[in-house]
Amino acid sequence: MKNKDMTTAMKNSISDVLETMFFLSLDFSDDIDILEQWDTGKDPVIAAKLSFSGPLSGYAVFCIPKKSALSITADFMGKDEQEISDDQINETIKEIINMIIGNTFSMYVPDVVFDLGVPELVEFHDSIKGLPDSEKSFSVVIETLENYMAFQMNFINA
Amino acid sequence: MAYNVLIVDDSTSMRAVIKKIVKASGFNVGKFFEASNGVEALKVLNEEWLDLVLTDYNMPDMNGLELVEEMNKDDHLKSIPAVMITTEGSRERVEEFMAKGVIEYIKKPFTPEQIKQKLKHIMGETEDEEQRYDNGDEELDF
Repeated sequence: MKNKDMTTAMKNSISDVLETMFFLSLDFSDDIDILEQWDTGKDPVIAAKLSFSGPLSGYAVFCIPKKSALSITADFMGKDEQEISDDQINETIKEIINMIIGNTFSMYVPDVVFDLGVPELVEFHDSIKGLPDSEKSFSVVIETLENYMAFQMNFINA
Repeated sequence: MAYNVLIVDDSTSMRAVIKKIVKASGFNVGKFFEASNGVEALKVLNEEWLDLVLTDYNMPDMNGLELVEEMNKDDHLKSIPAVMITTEGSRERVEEFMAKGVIEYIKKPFTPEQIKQKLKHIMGETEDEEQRYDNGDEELDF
């Protein structure tokens, strides 16, 4: 696996999904320390995880502060934030990770079939940190006008 | 003619967005029906008159492709056009969709304009009917 190509596919996919369907203006940041700030628990963070299998197997995690998740969901559904339920926020975040992964693989290896699992919510503390050393991991920090998000892909058989 | 449309997706937020985009596209919808997986969709299909099915692929219990395969076993249901709206983008998977009876494929993320064009194509709209869609153009920025 070419690390640069995978990271490029991830970034292109994230831009495609978040700009096309969520109208977000975004950039990518090298500030990995943002994850340490999230760890303080000051602003709750939602984490969604999705497993995949095929020529490459593993899982991905998408993390976003709840405040941003609420804003994105309201925009996505065309409603006011007061009208949005936690279930709708969670489903939107699961949809985002589903689209980003599917799109990433389409860009990275368009001729190869991957089976995607069903997205699930996980505890932030158990998700994007503390990965075993044997796993290959790619992380991207996404910077929007309001906040940060993070996306990580972890390969078990790379 | 107004078309009854079934939207099948395990995400309520995605169902709401698809419904909104289809409405905004100017497509003449009689009534929307919703289901969260293939099993629920078959129940609706057997109880209601449907003209079009827009289904996600990756869903629990019964995925979109299994739904289409079940529809194709029924003389009436197999005549209803089924469109796959999904993140699945590999050529092999798309070919599998088409080989198993999916009439059209829309990849997420999508724009309202892409939905509009696909629906026009699927329902065999003619140039004479362009006006009906054009009336909905101004609402496309959902």
